[in-house]
Amino acid sequence: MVADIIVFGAIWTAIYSMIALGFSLIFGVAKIMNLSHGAFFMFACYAAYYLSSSGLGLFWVALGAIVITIILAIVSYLGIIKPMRNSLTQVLILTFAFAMFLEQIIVITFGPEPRYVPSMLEGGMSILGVRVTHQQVLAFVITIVLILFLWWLLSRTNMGRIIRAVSQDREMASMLGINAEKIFIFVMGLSAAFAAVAGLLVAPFLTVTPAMGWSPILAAFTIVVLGGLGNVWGTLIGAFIVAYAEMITSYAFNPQLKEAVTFTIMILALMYRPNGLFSKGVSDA
Amino acid sequence: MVIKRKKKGIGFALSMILILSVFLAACNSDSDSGSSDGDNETIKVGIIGAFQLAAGKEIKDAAELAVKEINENGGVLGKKLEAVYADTKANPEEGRAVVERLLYQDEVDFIVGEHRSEVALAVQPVIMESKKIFVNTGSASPLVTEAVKEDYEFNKYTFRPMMDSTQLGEGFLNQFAQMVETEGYEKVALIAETAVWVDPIVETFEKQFGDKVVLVERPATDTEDFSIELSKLKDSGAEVAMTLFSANQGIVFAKQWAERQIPVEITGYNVQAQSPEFWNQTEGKANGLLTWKHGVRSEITEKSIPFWDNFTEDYGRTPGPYTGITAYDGVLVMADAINKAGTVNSVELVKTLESETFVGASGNIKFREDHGYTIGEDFVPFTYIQWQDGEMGVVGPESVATDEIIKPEWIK
Repeated sequence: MVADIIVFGAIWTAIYSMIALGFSLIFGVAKIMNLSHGAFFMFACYAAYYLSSSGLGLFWVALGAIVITIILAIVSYLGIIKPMRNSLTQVLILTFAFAMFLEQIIVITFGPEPRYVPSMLEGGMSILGVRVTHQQVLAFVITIVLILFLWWLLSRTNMGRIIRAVSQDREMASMLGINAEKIFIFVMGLSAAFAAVAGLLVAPFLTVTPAMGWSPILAAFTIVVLGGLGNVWGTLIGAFIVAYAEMITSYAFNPQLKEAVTFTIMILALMYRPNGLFSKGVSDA
Repeated sequence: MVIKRKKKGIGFALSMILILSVFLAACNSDSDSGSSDGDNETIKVGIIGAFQLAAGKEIKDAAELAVKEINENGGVLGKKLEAVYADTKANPEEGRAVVERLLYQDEVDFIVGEHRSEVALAVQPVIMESKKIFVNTGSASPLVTEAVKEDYEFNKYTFRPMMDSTQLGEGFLNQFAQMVETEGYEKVALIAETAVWVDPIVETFEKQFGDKVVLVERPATDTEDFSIELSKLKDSGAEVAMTLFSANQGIVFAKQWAERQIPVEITGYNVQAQSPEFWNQTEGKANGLLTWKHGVRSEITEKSIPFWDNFTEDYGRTPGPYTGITAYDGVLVMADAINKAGTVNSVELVKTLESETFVGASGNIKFREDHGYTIGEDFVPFTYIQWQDGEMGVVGPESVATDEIIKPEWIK
């Protein structure tokens, strides 16, 4: 039982991190609370389902789903978010409405019945005596790789320095000749790419439904509240806390209490640490 | 500048909402209803169900097949049988609206279908008010037939050639008890969704199997990941588990059970495992999984195998959810009853339906006093299938079985 908690807790920490990082990143840089982030996750799953049903190879399915989701995110940014960006409330409502809009489009296009995406890897292996699928291991490994990539991008590249500059002081960055708008578009695309990759990795072992984006966005919201909006490492620690709290509660008590635990953490975090455990702007450490 | 941008944004948002509204309105008006020619040369049957769902689509396809076959064999009372389809969209309000349209605009002679209990219960009084026969072919709620007992005069036009939840519960428990006895199992488990219809079965299961019960789990109907339940199942040491899944969780459960090679046999009810797509949806991993399936390819009556084969030929897939065969039988029973009664008069038809036994594809259909039907080997058997190398092997009861039960390869 302890081994199960350790292994599945690690897998869900990775998945939650991937979803929450994109959500946290766009807020940290552009101060956009994007409630359609979960819908991008869902949209990528459907894109993968559609492309795989068309007979495309695995690489093209993954690439196609990620690119389509990035395009959707950028179009939503330019069409909906950008004109309203100065009002946090309006952005919240608009992105919520856009998520509902996407969900309805998916229901009309694919129907309300669940869809299934084939696994990228077959078979399974034993870790600490717990049998996990290769797909779950792949999700874990790719998440680690992408987190390292994000760390490298933000801390070791010129683009990362620009992103951090815009995050810390947009006006000053603009005066120094940085086109903040281009950075916002880049980060929006990057954020959507994280949601899309998360969707692609978990779709084979979950049920793909039009409403599947809401549960991850709630988890992501709790994680970033806990870790501090815009804080990359805080987000990872938040994901770790939420994933393991859910696992321990599910094993020790009842799996149905999983979401109650998530909300309890959110309430406690908002009451006692409203700025998160490690709140600051987008940081590499 | 900011105002201009805001206006542009609001304009975009409004345009999106407008497009969506027009789109949805267009979809809602895209009625599935057939046309009414208004002549007396046809007898009309209204077919209802949530056609966008798999169970509803099955109703539509099977009813269409029944109507086609009846017309190919001379129709009903020498007249052509015409089906008028109405999508209830799994919504009681929508159900009432489309049923009223069927009754008073399309002027159907009787209505067949509907698998959602809440919709069936909502449309039942509307149909009874019009004194037309309602053959409910999917809802398992006992309330549908209890209404007949409680107010016979008003509700006597309701018939249900389909098992209710009490019969289903008894069937699941009997099959499980037989399996436990045959294999000599000492440790059993139950994984049943959190739903009202499951509660009495869980209670009886715990009483019936007593000390042998090592685990009872009640996951939510929208569970997307069974890692925790399956770990608990493995740790419990259970040898066999009954699952009761009527929603969309069956495929994920089966996949994870097989991928993690949980050494516990699975039987019970998995609605998704009744569909021919199940094998591909689980990527061929569900070998050895057992489930109740109403309607199998076995010689239960002379209509059973032809139904299976004709359905497969017409739709390019084998019959799926139970709603198909019940809708098929519903249309057949009504056509037979009209021919026997020599009229479409509802009062006369009630008498015929109450007194006669009808031959359906699922078995011999004999209505009870409450207008539910009798199950058992001489009537409608409680059949089980097991997924074996991509095929649905018929494994129970013995009288109709065509295949032997196998164990999943990781349990051998």
